[in-house]
Amino acid sequence: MSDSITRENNLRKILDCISESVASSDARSLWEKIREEMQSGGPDAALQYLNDELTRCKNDFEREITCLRETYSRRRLNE
Amino acid sequence: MSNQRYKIQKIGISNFRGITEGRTIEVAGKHLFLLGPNGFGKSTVVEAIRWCLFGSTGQQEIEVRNTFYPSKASEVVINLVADNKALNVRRLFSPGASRSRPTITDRDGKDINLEDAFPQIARLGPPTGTQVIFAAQHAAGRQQAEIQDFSKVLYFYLAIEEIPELLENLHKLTEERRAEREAMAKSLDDFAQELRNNLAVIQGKKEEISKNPPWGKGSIPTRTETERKIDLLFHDMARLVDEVPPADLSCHEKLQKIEEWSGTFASSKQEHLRAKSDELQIRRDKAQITKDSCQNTRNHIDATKNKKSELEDKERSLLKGQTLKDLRAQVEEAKKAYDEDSLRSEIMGLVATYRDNYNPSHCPACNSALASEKVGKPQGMGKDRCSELEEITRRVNEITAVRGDIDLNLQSLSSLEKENEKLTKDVQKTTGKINSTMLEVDHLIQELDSDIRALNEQLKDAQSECDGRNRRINERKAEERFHYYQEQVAAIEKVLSKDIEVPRNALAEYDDFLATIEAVGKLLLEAFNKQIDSAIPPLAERLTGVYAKLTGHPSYDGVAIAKQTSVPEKMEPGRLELQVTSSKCPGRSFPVNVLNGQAARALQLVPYFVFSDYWHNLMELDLLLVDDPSESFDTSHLENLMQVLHSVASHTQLVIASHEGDRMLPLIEKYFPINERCVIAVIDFDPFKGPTFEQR
Repeated sequence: MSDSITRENNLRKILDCISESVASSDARSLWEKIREEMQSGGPDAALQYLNDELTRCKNDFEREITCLRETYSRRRLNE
Repeated sequence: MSNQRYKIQKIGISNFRGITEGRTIEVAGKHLFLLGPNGFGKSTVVEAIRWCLFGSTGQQEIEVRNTFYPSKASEVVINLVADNKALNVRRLFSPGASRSRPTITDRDGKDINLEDAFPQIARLGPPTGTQVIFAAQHAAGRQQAEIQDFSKVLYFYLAIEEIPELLENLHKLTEERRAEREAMAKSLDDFAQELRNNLAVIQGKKEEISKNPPWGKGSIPTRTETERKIDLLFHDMARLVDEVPPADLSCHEKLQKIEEWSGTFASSKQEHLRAKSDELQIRRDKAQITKDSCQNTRNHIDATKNKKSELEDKERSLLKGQTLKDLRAQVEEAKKAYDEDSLRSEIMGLVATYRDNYNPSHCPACNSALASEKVGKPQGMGKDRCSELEEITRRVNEITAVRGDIDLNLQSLSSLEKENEKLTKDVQKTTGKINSTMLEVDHLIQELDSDIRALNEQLKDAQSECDGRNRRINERKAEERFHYYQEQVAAIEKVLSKDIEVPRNALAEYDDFLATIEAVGKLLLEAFNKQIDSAIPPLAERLTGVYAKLTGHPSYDGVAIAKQTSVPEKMEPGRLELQVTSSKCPGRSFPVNVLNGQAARALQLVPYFVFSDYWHNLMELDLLLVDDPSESFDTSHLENLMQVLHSVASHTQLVIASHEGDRMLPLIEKYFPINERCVIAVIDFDPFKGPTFEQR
């Protein structure tokens, strides 16, 4: 049977292929993390990781803008 | 056959479609062949197995209800056994329910989830990609094959099904998060715009103050200078209101305090002056009223006196030197004479009448002889006396009337004198001096007027003093506000140029992460497509081998896997479709509808036969259901089919239904030893009971 349709190899080949083609360090580290999550918990775990990271970034943004708004509002209240 | 996977041991069917009475088929883990004429219920058995394991797939579940007893529950029970394991799968479709309900219990009767019992099957989900291929009867119009999504099945066979799932979810995630990113960017832009708007407003206010600078013509004072001015004003005001200036106040608070003090001071001073002025005005008004009343009364007295004097003159002229007593005596006398004359005249008239009527010789009163001449009527007697009396009486009356008027005048005069006396006391009270004259009242009024004017001047001075103070306060306030606006402008400019960078960087980090996810997704898609592209040719070759063996089609003799274009923007791999090729037209592939029905239906079985060689080890339940395969294969190829079925039977449990028992049975006996087969002949069908089975 052809190697290309052997179950055991296909997924690994795809994963390896991406690892080889990822150029930027950000994308590489993200891909390594996705791959790690995929291997331990499947696509759901990988997606959960991405969701968590995006939520963290969003929360950082929300915190910063809220802080800025509050600082500015306090200034205005003192007027 | 391996005993690692579950095999059907027994099937129990009741109230399912045409099967009314309960039917049990003992399979004992062997391959099941159901042979019998069309319409006897073979397909119902095949469908009951599929329904029990996977439920309804797309069509209305109500179709499984028994035709004659729809009010009874439809039920199929399958006993599965593998090595030391056993499962009881029961699916019940209760009357009134909209969906059927499966229950899976183990040997001990403990409930087990489908995911735990058949994890691989549960992951694939019915109907796509299950290893159950179900070529239903054409006549029944039912679904032709269970393998609908060839792409999904192929990904599963290649063990890369997680990648399209990941790609699809990555796309959904990035789509959702892009929308979220837009909302985040908008909130940042809105905030920046709000700041810019406020900046413009504050700049405008600052410019407004600069147009009429409260600090005068000099240069803009520093905040320290302004604070010094405010402090000075603060202490000045504290001294003015006699207060101890509170310590530790901000400029703003000091200005508030100054304003408060100034307001209190001005209003108390003004109230005091106004009260005083009002009091003087009341006194002045009273004095004026007293003066006016006094003047009026005196005028009345004078007028009354004049009148009296006129009346007295008139009386004197009427008396003509006489007294009223003399005149009355004259009246009495004249009256008496007049009365006598009147009586005589009456008597004379009576005597004349008597003599005329009776001609007497003697007086009837005294009997003295009467003279011969007649008594004449008194001529003009009393006329003078009457005139005299009238004249005297008229004079008396006139004098009496004048006297009456004089008395009235005297009374009025007396009351006016009393009034005057009272008013004189008022005047004294008003001036505060005994024997005050009207002149003094006038003087008092003038004094009061002057005092009132002076108080009004004081009020004006107090007001202008207050205005001056307020102007100074407002100037300091404007100056202080100017500094505040200046600080605000600097603060907003700092937020816009520096502080806003923090959330902006957080947004950029979000953006970058999202872009990295998309980049990784695209790489994943590329790698996936590459892997699929490399898998397609050998796979197509194997599919062609099995297809050719099953059909021996003269024109379309090959199988191809056509791949549609991938959509990188949606992270979507190109869909895969099973097509046929012809050696007569190399390089081209054709959709399966170019095949006749028989070859097309045979083609649906091909992927199963190809893939089952190497994925069966994964499956907990490896079962092939084929309904009427002879309909898809002509006699010449039926043996080929049996050969293929025999080869997969090493790992698969077959359930084959055929209406061509005569053609099938010899082949079954040839390829399947007696200990591996369970042949059931369906010999009759009673619409009220169901099929009649006979074990062969």
